[in-house]
Amino acid sequence: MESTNVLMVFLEWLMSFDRKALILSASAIAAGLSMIAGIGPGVGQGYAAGKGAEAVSKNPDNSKQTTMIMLLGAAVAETSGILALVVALILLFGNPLVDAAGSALIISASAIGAGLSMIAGIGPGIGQGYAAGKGTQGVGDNPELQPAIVRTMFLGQAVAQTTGIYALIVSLVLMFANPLLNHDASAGEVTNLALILAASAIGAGLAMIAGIGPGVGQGYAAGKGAESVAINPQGYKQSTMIMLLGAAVAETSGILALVVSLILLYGNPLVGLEGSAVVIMASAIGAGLAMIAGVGPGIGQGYAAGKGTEAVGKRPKLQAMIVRTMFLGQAVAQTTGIYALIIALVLMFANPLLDLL
Amino acid sequence: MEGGFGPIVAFEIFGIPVTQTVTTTWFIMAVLILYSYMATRRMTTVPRTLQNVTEILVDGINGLTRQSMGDKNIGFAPYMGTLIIFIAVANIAGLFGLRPPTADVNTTFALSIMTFLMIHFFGAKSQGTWNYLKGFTEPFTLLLPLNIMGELATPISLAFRLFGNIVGGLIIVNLTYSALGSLSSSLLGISVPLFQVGIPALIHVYFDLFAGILQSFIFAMLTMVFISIAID
Repeated sequence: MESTNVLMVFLEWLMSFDRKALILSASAIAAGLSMIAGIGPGVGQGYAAGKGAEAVSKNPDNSKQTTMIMLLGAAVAETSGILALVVALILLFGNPLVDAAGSALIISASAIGAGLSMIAGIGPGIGQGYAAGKGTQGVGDNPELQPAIVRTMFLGQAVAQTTGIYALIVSLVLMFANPLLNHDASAGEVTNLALILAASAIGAGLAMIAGIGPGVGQGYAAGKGAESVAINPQGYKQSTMIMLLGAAVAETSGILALVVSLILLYGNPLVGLEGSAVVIMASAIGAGLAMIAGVGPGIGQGYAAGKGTEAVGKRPKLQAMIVRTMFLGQAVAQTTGIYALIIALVLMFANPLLDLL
Repeated sequence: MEGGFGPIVAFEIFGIPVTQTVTTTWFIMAVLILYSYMATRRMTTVPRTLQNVTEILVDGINGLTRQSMGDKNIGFAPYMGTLIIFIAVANIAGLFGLRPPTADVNTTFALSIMTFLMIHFFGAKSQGTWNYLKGFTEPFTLLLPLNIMGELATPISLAFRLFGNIVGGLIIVNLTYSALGSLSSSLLGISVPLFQVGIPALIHVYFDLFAGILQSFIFAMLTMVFISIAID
C-alpha cells in the first residue's frame, strides 16, 4: 500500500512498533475511555444526595429512612461506574487481547472500541441517580408509602440500566469473543481487510454511545414514576405501567445502536466490498458515529414518558388520552434517530460513495 | 449472521433450512396447546389448580385489554393474550436450555408485521379507507412523508426492541458461562466447570425472567395502544 496520505503514514508509523506494545497502548487508551462513564453516576448520585439533604431538612424525624433510600438508590446508580471499572480492570490486569491471535491493528482497535462502548454508562448513571433522588424525596414526604415507592424506583432503574448492559455486551464481545478476528487478515500487516475490520470495531463501539440518551430518559421516567406513586398511591399500578411503556419506547435508539453494532461485528457487509479501503473503513466509522444521534431521542422520549407517567398518576381516568398524546409525540421524537439509522444502513449496505471513485 | 449467536440449522426439508428457531417454536406451540387442553378439560364452577391459574391469567389479560383499548374493543383480548403468552414463554425458553425463538429477527419481525397490518386494517375499517388515508396528511399535507416514516418506524422498533433485549441477554449469558468455565479450570486446575453451578442464576433471573416477561408485556401493550389509536 502506498503511503500517500496522512492516514496511511499514521498507520505505517503505528505498525513500526512491536505488536504487543501496540495492543498494550491501545488497552491503556481504552481503559481511560471506559472510565469516562463515571460522569454519569457522579451527576446522578449528586442529585440523589441533594434530594436526600432536602428531604431530611423537611422531615427530620425520618432522616434515617430517607438516608437509607438515598443510599440504596445511589448504589443502583453506581452500576455503570462499576461496569466501566470492571472493563478497565480487565484491560489492565487480565487483558485477553494481549495473547489473541490475529492482526495487531484489529486487536488494538477492538480494545479502543470496547472502551468507547462503555461511555454509554453516563446515561444510566444520570438517569438512575435522578430516580434515586425522586424516590428519596417521595419517601421523605410519605414515609409510610416506602415499599411502593422503592418498588417503582427499582423497577424504573432496572429498565434504565438496559442500554448500559448493551454497551457492556459489545465491550465484552470485542474483548473475549471477537468475531472480527475470525476473518483471515494476515497478522502484523496493514492489509485492506485488517483496516476495514479495525474500523468496524471502533464503529461498533462508537454506536453504543447512543445508550447515553435512553439511560438519561428512562431514568427521568423512573423518577417521575416514583414521584407519582408518592403523590397518588392508588394509581400505583397505572403509573408504573405507563412508566414502563414510555421507557420501552425511549429505549428504541439504544436498540437500533445495538443492531448496527452487531451488524458491524457479525454480519459486516463492508468486508466483501470492492473499492477503496479508506472509503470503506471511513464508512464503518461513519455508521457508528451516525448512531450517536440516538442520544437525543432517548432523552426526549424519556422526558415524554416521565411527564406522561406524572399526568396519569394525577388523573388516572384520562389514561387513554394521555398515553395517546405521549406515544404520538414520542414517535415524532424518534424521527431523527431513524434518519441516523437510515444513513448508517446506507453507509453499510448501499454505499453511494464507492460508485463515485 | 455468520457464526456468533445466530440460530443453528437443525435440518432441511426439500432444501429449505429449518433452524432451531422453528423447532423451538413448534415445541412451544405444542406445550401451549397441551396446556390449554389440560387446563380446560374438566372445568368446574369452583376452579381447581390448573384452571385456577388459567382463570387468573385470562382475567388479567381481559382487564389489561379493557384498560388500554376500552370496553368496546374487548374482542382483541384473545389475540393479545396469545401474543403475550407466546412471547413470554419464548423469551424464558433460555431457562430450559433452549434457544429463545425471539432471539431471531425472523420471529420478531413476523410478530411486528402482524401488529403493523392489524393497526392499518382496523384503522381503515373503523374510519373508512379514504378517511383513514387522509389522516396521514394531518395536521397539514407537508407532514405526509414524516407521518409515513413514523408508521414504518413502528414495526421496526417493535421488532428490534424484542430482538435486541433477548439476543443481548443470550450473548451475556453465554459469555458468563464460558468465563466461569475457564475461571474454574484456571483457578482450580480441573476440567469440571465448578463455578458454573449457581452463580449464573442471578443473570438468568434478570435477563430471562425480568427482561423476558417485561418485554412480552411491552410488546402486547404497545400493540394494543397502537391499534386503539388507529381505531378512534
